[in-house]
Amino acid sequence: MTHSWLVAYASVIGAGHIAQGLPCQDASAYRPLNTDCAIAVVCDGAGSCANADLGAAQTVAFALTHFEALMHQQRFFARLPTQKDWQRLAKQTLLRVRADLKAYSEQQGIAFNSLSCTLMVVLVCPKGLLISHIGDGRAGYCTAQGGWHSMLTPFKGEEANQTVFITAAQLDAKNTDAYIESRIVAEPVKAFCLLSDGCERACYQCNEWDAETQRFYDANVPYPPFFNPNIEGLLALQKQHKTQAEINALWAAFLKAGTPPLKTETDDKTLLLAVRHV
Amino acid sequence: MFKGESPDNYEPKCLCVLVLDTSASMAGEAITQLNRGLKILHQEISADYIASQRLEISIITFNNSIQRLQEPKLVEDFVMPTLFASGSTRLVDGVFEALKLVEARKLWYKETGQSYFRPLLFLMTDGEPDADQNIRALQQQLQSSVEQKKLSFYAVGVQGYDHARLSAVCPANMPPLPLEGYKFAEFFKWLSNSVSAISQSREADNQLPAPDSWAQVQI
Repeated sequence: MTHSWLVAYASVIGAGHIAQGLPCQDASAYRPLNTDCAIAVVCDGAGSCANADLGAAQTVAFALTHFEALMHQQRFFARLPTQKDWQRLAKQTLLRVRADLKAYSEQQGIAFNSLSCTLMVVLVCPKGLLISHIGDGRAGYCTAQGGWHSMLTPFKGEEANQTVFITAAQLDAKNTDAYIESRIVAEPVKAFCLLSDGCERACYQCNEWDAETQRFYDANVPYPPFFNPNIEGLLALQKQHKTQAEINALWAAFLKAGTPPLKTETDDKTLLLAVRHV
Repeated sequence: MFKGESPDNYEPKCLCVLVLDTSASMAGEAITQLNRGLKILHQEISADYIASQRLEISIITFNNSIQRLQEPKLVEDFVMPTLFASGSTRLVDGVFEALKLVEARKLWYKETGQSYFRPLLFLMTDGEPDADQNIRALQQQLQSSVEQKKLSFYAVGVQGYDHARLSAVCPANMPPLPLEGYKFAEFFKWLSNSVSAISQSREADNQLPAPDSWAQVQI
């Protein structure tokens, strides 16, 4: 099978986690399903939770299983759902992932909350992208014309480090829609990105000053001077016949210190960049 | 190969208010070491890029008057002042002033669209509050502020302090931490290192790492 997307993805440990003796609590995966379809998942474990690294890794695995099944059941290979159907189906599936994580915590005899993490999923379909998420992080796409746009709004609390996790009690309640955002990009996409909040300062316009309103604001836009050269870099590596493992190793090295904000970031960093090449 | 440019994003802010006892009992070695510690804090934060862009330090001193010696600023925007000791101990008024400052700064962050971490308030004292100070009112206010997660509060007892009296000011289950000797330098190094930890902690538990060499183990 020739997959029509090139991808680079890695989760690298932050300097702050190294200093505190914590493991990398981010996890990520990309699973090609056929020529045009794939699933991309990123999870960011809650820094203060004892088993957040396990929670992130398990949540990625459960999400791959359940969203792959959903792709087949709903035949997203052939057509995209309506917005209303996607929100309903994504919510059902995210809650299945959550139930699996809860069962896992019981099997392991560990507290459910100790596995806290965020979750972002992108389903790559022939006619567009399906996105759903719980918590913060960023996801964006580049149109065929080259314009970069955001495809999710991170869930943030009053304080800078507050968000909601897949383990949150709010997701047991009826009003879960307030915590799950699902969107559809129903147009040809040239590239897309998916990242944990540890990477956002480096590649997103997310905290800028507006002189007119005299306010700081979150533009929530992928930064083209960051992504466009890396699209070229990824295409060049393909021409050199690099394996996925080799590409990811180069990408991890770039994420460690490739730009000043990547170098100074204390949090774990996950960034997945996918580019359509055929 | 991979390369790219990053945008100019501002950092979220972390307000740290130091409420410092400059009463007469702090004269001598205590105030000398406190001044040395403050300068070390300034150096440590300046040397840590992320902390220097996130941490806004404010200093309030109390003796028989309350002084806002330093309004909240990044370390690059102020020179650490030198403190002098004299007078009595209007501790309660000093902490109330800090609580007012925290609320005003949070309001300003919101009005200007800035994201922020939970403010930190440190009280450092070796003395007992003056007799006319309303300890009970302050304790209730701190208890409520901490429970509502409006701020994180830590009291540090400097050699000679009365643990029971200072505990009466603190929120329940958050007794004062006794400073070993005059290890202000170690304390402020720990505080500097803790800033990056604070900015990674998520949701409810905005706890600082455990104290290290600056704290006495036995109370």
